Amino acid sequence: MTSERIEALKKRREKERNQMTNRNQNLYAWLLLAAVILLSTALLVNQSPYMWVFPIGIMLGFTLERSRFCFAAAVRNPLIVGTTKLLQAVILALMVSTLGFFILQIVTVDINNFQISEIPGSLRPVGWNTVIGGILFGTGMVIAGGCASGTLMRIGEGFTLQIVVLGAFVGGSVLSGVFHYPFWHDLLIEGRTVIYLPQLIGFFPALILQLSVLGILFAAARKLGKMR
Amino acid sequence: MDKLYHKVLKAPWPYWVAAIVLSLLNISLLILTGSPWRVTSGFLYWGMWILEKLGYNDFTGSYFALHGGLAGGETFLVNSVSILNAAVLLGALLSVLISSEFKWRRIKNPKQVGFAIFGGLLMGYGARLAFGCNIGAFFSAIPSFSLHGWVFALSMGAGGVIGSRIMMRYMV
Repeated sequence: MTSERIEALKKRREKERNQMTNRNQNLYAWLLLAAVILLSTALLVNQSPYMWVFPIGIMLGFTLERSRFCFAAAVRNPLIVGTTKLLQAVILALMVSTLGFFILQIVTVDINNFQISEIPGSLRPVGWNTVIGGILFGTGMVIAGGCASGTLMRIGEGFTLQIVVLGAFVGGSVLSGVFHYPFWHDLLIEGRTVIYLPQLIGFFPALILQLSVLGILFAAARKLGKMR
Repeated sequence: MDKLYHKVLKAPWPYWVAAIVLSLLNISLLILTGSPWRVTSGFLYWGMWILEKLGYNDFTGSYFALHGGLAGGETFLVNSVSILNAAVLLGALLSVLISSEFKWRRIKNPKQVGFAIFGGLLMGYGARLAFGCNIGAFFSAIPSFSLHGWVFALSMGAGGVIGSRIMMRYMV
Protein backbone atom coordinates (compact mmCIF):
# COMPACT_ATOMS: atom_id res chain seq x y z
CA MET A 1 0.00 0.00 0.00
CA THR A 2 1.35 3.42 -0.90
CA SER A 3 1.50 6.22 1.60
CA GLU A 4 -1.04 8.31 -0.35
CA ARG A 5 -3.54 5.53 -0.08
CA ILE A 6 -2.86 5.29 3.65
CA GLU A 7 -3.40 9.04 3.95
CA ALA A 8 -6.65 8.83 1.97
CA LEU A 9 -7.83 5.98 4.18
CA LYS A 10 -6.94 7.97 7.30
CA LYS A 11 -8.94 10.95 6.02
CA ARG A 12 -11.94 8.77 5.26
CA ARG A 13 -11.79 7.19 8.71
CA GLU A 14 -11.55 10.62 10.30
CA LYS A 15 -14.64 11.71 8.36
CA GLU A 16 -16.56 8.60 9.33
CA ARG A 17 -15.56 9.11 12.92
CA ASN A 18 -16.79 12.70 12.88
CA GLN A 19 -20.11 11.62 11.44
CA MET A 20 -20.53 8.93 14.05
CA THR A 21 -19.71 11.22 16.94
CA ASN A 22 -21.27 14.50 16.00
CA ARG A 23 -22.96 14.65 19.39
CA ASN A 24 -21.57 17.55 21.31
CA GLN A 25 -19.50 16.37 24.29
CA ASN A 26 -18.57 19.82 25.56
CA LEU A 27 -20.47 19.38 28.82
CA TYR A 28 -18.41 16.32 29.77
CA ALA A 29 -15.24 18.10 28.69
CA TRP A 30 -16.01 21.06 30.99
CA LEU A 31 -16.88 18.78 33.90
CA LEU A 32 -13.65 16.82 33.52
CA LEU A 33 -11.62 20.00 33.10
CA ALA A 34 -13.17 21.43 36.27
CA ALA A 35 -12.39 18.22 38.18
CA VAL A 36 -8.79 18.21 36.92
CA ILE A 37 -8.25 21.86 37.89
CA LEU A 38 -9.85 21.32 41.30
CA LEU A 39 -7.72 18.26 42.01
CA SER A 40 -4.51 19.93 40.77
CA THR A 41 -5.18 22.92 43.01
CA ALA A 42 -5.91 20.69 46.00
CA LEU A 43 -2.65 18.78 45.45
CA LEU A 44 -0.73 22.04 45.15
CA VAL A 45 -2.29 23.62 48.24
CA ASN A 46 -1.51 20.52 50.29
CA GLN A 47 2.04 20.35 48.90
CA SER A 48 1.29 16.76 47.94
CA PRO A 49 4.15 14.65 46.55
CA TYR A 50 1.93 14.25 43.49
CA MET A 51 1.41 17.95 42.88
CA TRP A 52 3.58 17.93 39.75
CA VAL A 53 3.08 14.46 38.29
CA PHE A 54 -0.69 14.92 38.10
CA PRO A 55 -0.92 18.12 36.03
CA ILE A 56 2.09 17.21 33.88
CA GLY A 57 0.61 13.77 33.22
CA ILE A 58 -2.65 15.41 32.13
CA MET A 59 -0.70 17.57 29.70
CA LEU A 60 1.30 14.59 28.39
CA GLY A 61 -1.89 12.61 27.73
CA PHE A 62 -3.56 15.62 26.17
CA THR A 63 -0.59 16.21 23.84
CA LEU A 64 -0.37 12.54 22.82
CA GLU A 65 -4.07 12.40 21.94
CA ARG A 66 -4.27 15.80 20.29
CA SER A 67 -1.47 14.97 17.89
CA ARG A 68 -2.13 11.21 17.50
CA PHE A 69 1.46 10.77 18.63
CA CYS A 70 2.40 7.11 18.85
CA PHE A 71 5.83 5.72 19.55
CA ALA A 72 4.85 2.31 18.18
CA ALA A 73 3.79 3.84 14.87
CA ALA A 74 7.08 5.77 14.73
CA VAL A 75 8.88 2.41 14.59
CA ARG A 76 6.27 0.50 12.59
CA ASN A 77 5.41 2.98 9.83
CA PRO A 78 8.89 3.16 8.27
CA LEU A 79 8.96 -0.64 8.22
CA ILE A 80 5.49 -1.28 6.82
CA VAL A 81 4.34 1.76 4.86
CA GLY A 82 7.53 3.78 4.53
CA THR A 83 6.28 7.00 6.14
CA THR A 84 8.73 8.65 8.52
CA LYS A 85 6.95 11.79 9.74
CA LEU A 86 6.44 10.37 13.23
CA LEU A 87 9.95 8.95 13.40
CA GLN A 88 11.32 12.38 12.50
CA ALA A 89 9.22 13.93 15.28
CA VAL A 90 10.50 11.39 17.82
CA ILE A 91 14.10 12.15 16.83
CA LEU A 92 13.40 15.88 17.09
CA ALA A 93 11.96 15.33 20.57
CA LEU A 94 15.09 13.41 21.59
CA MET A 95 17.25 16.33 20.42
CA VAL A 96 15.24 18.90 22.39
CA SER A 97 15.21 16.67 25.49
CA THR A 98 18.93 15.97 25.17
CA LEU A 99 19.63 19.68 25.38
CA GLY A 100 17.30 20.16 28.36
CA PHE A 101 18.57 17.13 30.30
CA PHE A 102 22.16 18.15 29.57
CA ILE A 103 21.71 21.64 31.00
CA LEU A 104 20.03 20.22 34.08
CA GLN A 105 22.78 17.63 34.56
CA ILE A 106 25.67 20.11 34.32
CA VAL A 107 24.07 22.55 36.72
CA THR A 108 23.16 19.81 39.21
CA VAL A 109 26.48 17.97 39.52
CA ASP A 110 30.11 18.96 39.74
CA ILE A 111 31.28 17.80 36.32
CA ASN A 112 34.80 17.10 37.54
CA ASN A 113 33.78 15.02 40.49
CA PHE A 114 30.46 13.21 40.55
CA GLN A 115 28.76 9.95 41.37
CA ILE A 116 26.47 8.28 38.81
CA SER A 117 23.71 8.13 41.42
CA GLU A 118 23.61 11.93 41.65
CA ILE A 119 22.90 12.47 37.95
CA PRO A 120 19.27 13.43 37.25
CA GLY A 121 17.62 11.32 34.56
CA SER A 122 16.93 7.73 33.60
CA LEU A 123 20.28 5.99 34.13
CA ARG A 124 20.17 2.20 34.21
CA PRO A 125 22.57 -0.71 33.81
CA VAL A 126 23.11 -1.92 30.27
CA GLY A 127 23.72 -5.50 29.13
CA TRP A 128 22.15 -8.42 27.27
CA ASN A 129 19.04 -7.86 29.37
CA THR A 130 18.58 -4.56 27.52
CA VAL A 131 18.92 -6.32 24.15
CA ILE A 132 16.53 -9.18 24.95
CA GLY A 133 14.06 -6.87 26.69
CA GLY A 134 14.19 -4.40 23.81
CA ILE A 135 13.57 -7.06 21.17
CA LEU A 136 10.62 -8.52 23.11
CA PHE A 137 9.23 -5.05 23.72
CA GLY A 138 9.59 -3.95 20.09
CA THR A 139 7.94 -7.12 18.82
CA GLY A 140 5.07 -6.81 21.28
CA MET A 141 4.59 -3.13 20.58
CA VAL A 142 4.02 -3.69 16.87
CA ILE A 143 1.78 -6.72 17.45
CA ALA A 144 -0.37 -4.98 20.06
CA GLY A 145 -0.47 -1.83 17.94
CA GLY A 146 0.72 0.52 20.65
CA CYS A 147 3.26 0.95 23.39
CA ALA A 148 2.69 1.67 27.07
CA SER A 149 1.83 5.35 26.75
CA GLY A 150 -0.17 4.68 23.58
CA THR A 151 -2.21 2.04 25.39
CA LEU A 152 -3.11 4.48 28.17
CA MET A 153 -4.00 7.11 25.59
CA ARG A 154 -6.28 4.77 23.64
CA ILE A 155 -8.09 3.64 26.78
CA GLY A 156 -8.79 7.33 27.34
CA GLU A 157 -10.20 7.53 23.81
CA GLY A 158 -12.55 4.66 24.60
CA PHE A 159 -10.83 1.67 22.97
CA THR A 160 -11.87 -1.53 24.73
CA LEU A 161 -9.14 -3.56 23.07
CA GLN A 162 -6.42 -1.55 24.81
CA ILE A 163 -7.84 -2.50 28.21
CA VAL A 164 -6.99 -6.08 27.22
CA VAL A 165 -3.49 -4.93 26.18
CA LEU A 166 -3.05 -3.20 29.55
CA GLY A 167 -4.14 -6.33 31.42
CA ALA A 168 -1.66 -8.46 29.48
CA PHE A 169 1.02 -5.80 29.96
CA VAL A 170 0.54 -5.95 33.74
CA GLY A 171 0.61 -9.76 33.52
CA GLY A 172 3.84 -9.79 31.52
CA SER A 173 5.45 -7.31 33.95
CA VAL A 174 4.62 -9.51 36.93
CA LEU A 175 5.84 -12.61 35.13
CA SER A 176 9.30 -11.21 34.44
CA GLY A 177 9.50 -8.66 37.28
CA VAL A 178 8.38 -10.97 40.08
CA PHE A 179 8.34 -14.65 39.15
CA HIS A 180 11.24 -14.85 36.68
CA TYR A 181 13.29 -11.97 38.01
CA PRO A 182 15.66 -14.02 40.19
CA PHE A 183 16.53 -16.13 37.13
CA TRP A 184 17.20 -13.19 34.79
CA HIS A 185 18.95 -11.23 37.51
CA ASP A 186 21.46 -13.99 38.19
CA LEU A 187 21.92 -14.72 34.50
CA LEU A 188 22.21 -11.27 32.94
CA ILE A 189 21.66 -8.33 35.22
CA GLU A 190 23.82 -8.86 38.29
CA GLY A 191 27.07 -6.92 38.03
CA ARG A 192 25.93 -4.82 35.06
CA THR A 193 26.60 -1.12 35.51
CA VAL A 194 25.29 2.15 34.17
CA ILE A 195 27.34 3.41 31.25
CA TYR A 196 27.09 7.19 31.29
CA LEU A 197 28.49 8.68 28.09
CA PRO A 198 29.90 11.92 29.61
CA GLN A 199 31.92 9.80 32.01
CA LEU A 200 33.61 8.10 29.05
CA ILE A 201 34.26 11.03 26.73
CA GLY A 202 33.47 14.16 28.72
CA PHE A 203 30.33 16.27 29.03
CA PHE A 204 30.53 18.57 26.02
CA PRO A 205 31.89 15.92 23.61
CA ALA A 206 29.01 13.64 24.67
CA LEU A 207 26.51 16.41 23.93
CA ILE A 208 28.01 17.17 20.54
CA LEU A 209 28.29 13.48 19.63
CA GLN A 210 24.72 12.73 20.63
CA LEU A 211 23.24 15.74 18.85
CA SER A 212 25.24 14.90 15.71
CA VAL A 213 24.10 11.28 15.69
CA LEU A 214 20.48 12.35 16.21
CA GLY A 215 20.88 14.98 13.49
CA ILE A 216 22.18 12.38 11.03
CA LEU A 217 19.34 10.01 11.93
CA PHE A 218 16.84 12.83 11.43
CA ALA A 219 18.24 13.60 7.98
CA ALA A 220 18.26 9.90 7.08
CA ALA A 221 14.63 9.46 8.20
CA ARG A 222 13.64 12.52 6.18
CA LYS A 223 15.36 11.20 3.09
CA LEU A 224 13.80 7.75 3.50
CA GLY A 225 10.37 9.34 3.82
CA LYS A 226 10.88 11.31 0.61
CA MET A 227 12.18 8.32 -1.29
CA ARG A 228 9.03 6.30 -0.72
CA MET B 1 -8.84 34.38 18.68
CA ASP B 2 -11.49 31.94 17.61
CA LYS B 3 -9.07 30.58 15.08
CA LEU B 4 -6.38 30.04 17.70
CA TYR B 5 -8.91 28.32 19.96
CA HIS B 6 -9.82 25.99 17.13
CA LYS B 7 -6.19 25.28 16.30
CA VAL B 8 -5.17 24.46 19.88
CA LEU B 9 -8.27 22.69 21.13
CA LYS B 10 -10.13 21.25 18.17
CA ALA B 11 -7.73 20.49 15.34
CA PRO B 12 -5.02 17.84 15.60
CA TRP B 13 -1.55 19.22 16.38
CA PRO B 14 1.28 18.58 13.92
CA TYR B 15 3.75 15.94 15.08
CA TRP B 16 6.61 18.40 15.43
CA VAL B 17 4.60 20.58 17.81
CA ALA B 18 3.80 17.52 19.93
CA ALA B 19 7.48 16.51 19.85
CA ILE B 20 8.55 19.85 21.34
CA VAL B 21 5.72 19.95 23.90
CA LEU B 22 6.41 16.37 25.05
CA SER B 23 10.12 17.19 25.45
CA LEU B 24 9.42 20.32 27.45
CA LEU B 25 7.00 18.42 29.69
CA ASN B 26 9.56 15.67 30.24
CA ILE B 27 12.25 18.23 31.12
CA SER B 28 9.82 19.94 33.53
CA LEU B 29 9.00 16.61 35.14
CA LEU B 30 12.70 15.93 35.69
CA ILE B 31 13.33 19.39 37.15
CA LEU B 32 10.26 19.46 39.40
CA THR B 33 10.16 15.85 40.63
CA GLY B 34 13.74 14.65 40.12
CA SER B 35 12.51 11.82 37.95
CA PRO B 36 11.75 11.85 34.21
CA TRP B 37 8.67 10.40 32.47
CA ARG B 38 8.24 6.65 32.99
CA VAL B 39 5.31 4.33 32.64
CA THR B 40 5.89 0.62 33.00
CA SER B 41 7.22 0.32 36.53
CA GLY B 42 3.72 1.52 37.43
CA PHE B 43 2.24 -1.49 35.64
CA LEU B 44 4.50 -3.80 37.64
CA TYR B 45 3.31 -2.20 40.89
CA TRP B 46 -0.32 -2.62 39.84
CA GLY B 47 0.38 -6.29 39.18
CA MET B 48 2.01 -6.65 42.59
CA TRP B 49 -0.96 -4.92 44.20
CA ILE B 50 -3.24 -7.52 42.61
CA LEU B 51 -0.94 -10.34 43.76
CA GLU B 52 -1.09 -9.00 47.31
CA LYS B 53 -4.89 -8.87 47.15
CA LEU B 54 -4.83 -12.48 46.01
CA GLY B 55 -2.77 -13.35 49.06
CA TYR B 56 0.65 -13.63 47.41
CA ASN B 57 3.31 -11.45 48.97
CA ASP B 58 6.66 -13.18 48.67
CA PHE B 59 8.58 -10.66 46.61
CA THR B 60 12.09 -11.79 47.51
CA GLY B 61 14.42 -11.47 44.54
CA SER B 62 11.86 -9.51 42.51
CA TYR B 63 12.61 -6.37 40.50
CA PHE B 64 10.98 -4.39 43.28
CA ALA B 65 13.02 -6.01 46.06
CA LEU B 66 16.29 -5.43 44.20
CA HIS B 67 15.74 -2.02 42.63
CA GLY B 68 12.96 -0.53 44.76
CA GLY B 69 11.39 2.58 43.36
CA LEU B 70 8.68 3.60 45.81
CA ALA B 71 9.12 6.59 48.09
CA GLY B 72 8.00 6.59 51.72
CA GLY B 73 4.23 6.52 52.09
CA GLU B 74 3.70 5.20 48.56
CA THR B 75 1.85 1.97 47.95
CA PHE B 76 1.69 -0.37 44.96
CA LEU B 77 -1.59 1.23 44.01
CA VAL B 78 -0.93 4.87 44.85
CA ASN B 79 2.52 6.15 43.86
CA SER B 80 3.91 8.77 41.52
CA VAL B 81 4.12 6.48 38.48
CA SER B 82 0.54 5.29 39.00
CA ILE B 83 -0.70 8.86 39.32
CA LEU B 84 1.28 9.87 36.25
CA ASN B 85 -0.23 6.98 34.25
CA ALA B 86 -3.75 7.74 35.42
CA ALA B 87 -3.21 11.39 34.54
CA VAL B 88 -1.99 10.50 31.02
CA LEU B 89 -5.19 8.49 30.52
CA LEU B 90 -7.35 11.35 31.83
CA GLY B 91 -5.48 13.89 29.70
CA ALA B 92 -6.23 11.83 26.60
CA LEU B 93 -9.87 11.57 27.67
CA LEU B 94 -10.04 15.33 28.14
CA SER B 95 -8.61 15.90 24.68
CA VAL B 96 -11.02 13.50 23.01
CA LEU B 97 -14.01 15.02 24.86
CA ILE B 98 -13.03 18.54 23.84
CA SER B 99 -13.18 17.53 20.20
CA SER B 100 -16.42 15.57 20.88
CA GLU B 101 -14.87 12.38 19.56
CA PHE B 102 -15.21 10.09 22.55
CA LYS B 103 -16.87 6.81 21.77
CA TRP B 104 -16.64 3.31 23.20
CA ARG B 105 -14.94 1.37 20.49
CA ARG B 106 -15.82 -2.28 20.70
CA ILE B 107 -13.50 -5.14 19.89
CA LYS B 108 -14.12 -6.27 16.34
CA ASN B 109 -12.96 -9.86 16.32
CA PRO B 110 -11.39 -12.52 18.55
CA LYS B 111 -8.19 -12.46 16.49
CA GLN B 112 -7.57 -8.90 17.68
CA VAL B 113 -7.86 -10.06 21.28
CA GLY B 114 -5.24 -12.72 20.65
CA PHE B 115 -2.83 -10.15 19.25
CA ALA B 116 -3.59 -7.75 22.09
CA ILE B 117 -2.82 -10.36 24.74
CA PHE B 118 0.30 -11.68 23.01
CA GLY B 119 1.64 -8.19 22.29
CA GLY B 120 0.85 -6.95 25.79
CA LEU B 121 2.55 -9.91 27.45
CA LEU B 122 5.68 -9.47 25.31
CA MET B 123 5.85 -5.74 26.09
CA GLY B 124 5.38 -6.29 29.81
CA TYR B 125 7.93 -9.09 29.95
CA GLY B 126 10.50 -7.19 27.91
CA ALA B 127 10.09 -3.89 29.70
CA ARG B 128 11.05 -5.32 33.09
CA LEU B 129 14.18 -6.98 31.72
CA ALA B 130 15.29 -3.78 30.02
CA PHE B 131 14.50 -1.43 32.94
CA GLY B 132 11.69 0.30 31.11
CA CYS B 133 9.64 0.75 27.99
CA ASN B 134 10.02 3.14 25.10
CA ILE B 135 9.45 5.96 27.53
CA GLY B 136 11.70 5.10 30.51
CA ALA B 137 14.34 3.16 28.58
CA PHE B 138 14.22 5.27 25.42
CA PHE B 139 12.47 8.64 25.50
CA SER B 140 13.92 9.52 28.92
CA ALA B 141 17.09 7.38 28.72
CA ILE B 142 18.74 8.71 25.54
CA PRO B 143 18.50 12.35 26.72
CA SER B 144 20.02 11.19 30.05
CA PHE B 145 23.15 10.05 28.13
CA SER B 146 22.76 6.52 29.49
CA LEU B 147 24.00 3.93 26.98
CA HIS B 148 21.10 1.59 27.77
CA GLY B 149 18.79 4.00 25.94
CA TRP B 150 20.66 3.56 22.66
CA VAL B 151 20.96 -0.20 23.07
CA PHE B 152 17.24 -0.37 23.84
CA ALA B 153 16.44 1.75 20.77
CA LEU B 154 18.35 -0.57 18.43
CA SER B 155 16.87 -3.69 20.00
CA MET B 156 13.38 -2.23 19.91
CA GLY B 157 13.90 -1.49 16.19
CA ALA B 158 14.96 -5.11 15.63
CA GLY B 159 11.87 -6.24 17.54
CA GLY B 160 9.82 -3.92 15.37
CA VAL B 161 11.06 -5.75 12.27
CA ILE B 162 10.09 -9.11 13.79
CA GLY B 163 6.70 -7.77 14.89
CA SER B 164 6.01 -6.29 11.45
CA ARG B 165 6.80 -9.62 9.79
CA ILE B 166 4.40 -11.41 12.15
CA MET B 167 1.71 -8.82 11.53
CA MET B 168 2.01 -8.92 7.75
CA ARG B 169 1.86 -12.67 7.81
CA TYR B 170 -1.06 -13.24 10.13
CA MET B 171 -3.06 -10.05 10.27
CA VAL B 172 -3.32 -8.77 6.71
